[in-house]
Amino acid sequence: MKGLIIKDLCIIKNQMKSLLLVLGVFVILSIINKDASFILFLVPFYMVMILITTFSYDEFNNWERYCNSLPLSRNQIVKAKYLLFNACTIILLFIGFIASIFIPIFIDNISFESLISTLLGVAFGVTFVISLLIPFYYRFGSQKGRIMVFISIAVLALLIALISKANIFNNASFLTFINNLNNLSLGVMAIILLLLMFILIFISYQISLRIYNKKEF
Amino acid sequence: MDNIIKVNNLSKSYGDFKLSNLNIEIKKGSIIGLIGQNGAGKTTFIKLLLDLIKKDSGDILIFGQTINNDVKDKIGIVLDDSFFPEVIKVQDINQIMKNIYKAWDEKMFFNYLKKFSLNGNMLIKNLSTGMKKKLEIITALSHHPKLLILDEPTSGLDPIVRNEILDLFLEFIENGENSILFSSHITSDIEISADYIIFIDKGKLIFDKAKDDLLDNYGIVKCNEESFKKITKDYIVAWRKNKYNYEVLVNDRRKVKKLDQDLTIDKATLADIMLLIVKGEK
Repeated sequence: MKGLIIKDLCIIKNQMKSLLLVLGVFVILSIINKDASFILFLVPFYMVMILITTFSYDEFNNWERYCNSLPLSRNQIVKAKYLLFNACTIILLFIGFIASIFIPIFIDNISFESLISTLLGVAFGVTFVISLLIPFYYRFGSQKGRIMVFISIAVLALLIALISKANIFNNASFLTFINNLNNLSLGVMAIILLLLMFILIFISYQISLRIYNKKEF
Repeated sequence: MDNIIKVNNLSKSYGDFKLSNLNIEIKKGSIIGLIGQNGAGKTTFIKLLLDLIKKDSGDILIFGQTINNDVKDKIGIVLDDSFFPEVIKVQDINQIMKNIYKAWDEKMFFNYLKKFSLNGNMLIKNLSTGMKKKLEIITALSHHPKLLILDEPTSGLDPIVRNEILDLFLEFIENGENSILFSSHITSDIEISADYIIFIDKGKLIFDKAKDDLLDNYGIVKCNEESFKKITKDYIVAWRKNKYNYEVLVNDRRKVKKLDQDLTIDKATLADIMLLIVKGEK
């Protein structure tokens, strides 16, 4: 299983030049704009995009079939992908956390709390996208999978729009619920979000295992 | 445990295609050539062996076991299309496989790279087709497997590379313990190297025979209608009516010759045998 993660890292490593270039542009942009949340927001999603390319390489280079001929169980193959994605997310979160401590020292109008809440939001977003992407990619392949992910995000956005149009948000109990959320401390919010992320990933992992175990190559 | 692979009543259908009731035994210490035209079921058979696709019915035993990771650890694989990620370097394969095969032999891998003048720093996408194939075969050999399963390992390669690869195969089975199953539609490669021949057509096993026995006994008779009718039916494997003559594949050319001294009987090549069985009548 470790071998598979190394393989994906090798794929990413050899695209490093262009990756660093884009990262450099992000950093410069955020310095010009004096906006740290910009980079906190873009980098993680950029990372997801990069990780997703490993799926495309697997597919276009016929790796999947070969990989399943190696002494690896299908569960291990799926696990390796999830480990890679989650490890990268955790590393970025950690870097973001450290950055959130130091950035406010250098830039006056940004507080640690605001950065951390941005970071948490982004982490949740990234986790959400990942847990949607991986099963879709396993089920539909990288071409169709991408389209399916766009469609499902669009449907989700539409649903949210419809719900908000339906005036649920003016509902008194919902408003108190939102108020209660606002009263929660950042720490409690963080724990709830992390827990939700964990559940999301777990469900997505189980679905991917099912899909992958049924696959024929 | 003399049988390295034992297949019982294996069936699999895929839409229109059906691989039906295959019974195959493969002995230790030999090279087995799997032949058949494109789409005959060779790749399907190999995929079934490796559990890449699920069988409908039947049993497959490799080293006396149903396939599992320990079994796969002792198999070296080369598939028909190139399968390494294009954007990694040749030497990255070592790092990857070191962490996948228990018995991966780093030294052996780099020795092979040197022997075949493959540059470890090159990106795989920059290798030629022949170089890629060599790298794949080297990779399949570098964890001391007991069995090599190769799907079309020599197709698309020039005669020199093909020869080098066939030499590697012979070296590999030298110890009498190792075996190779390889499919190819280049019958001359199989004629050179294989000990046994498995011939599959339209998903059915046509025969499973020792090569020497096959090439020694089978013959091609070219004759007119009159002589064709005189050949004992039991000896005829397949025949075909051409514009000016009959082409008949017989399974015992000496006996046929004895019965009719006037017949000209040539030795049959694997290509002849394949062609007549696939295209001819029975």
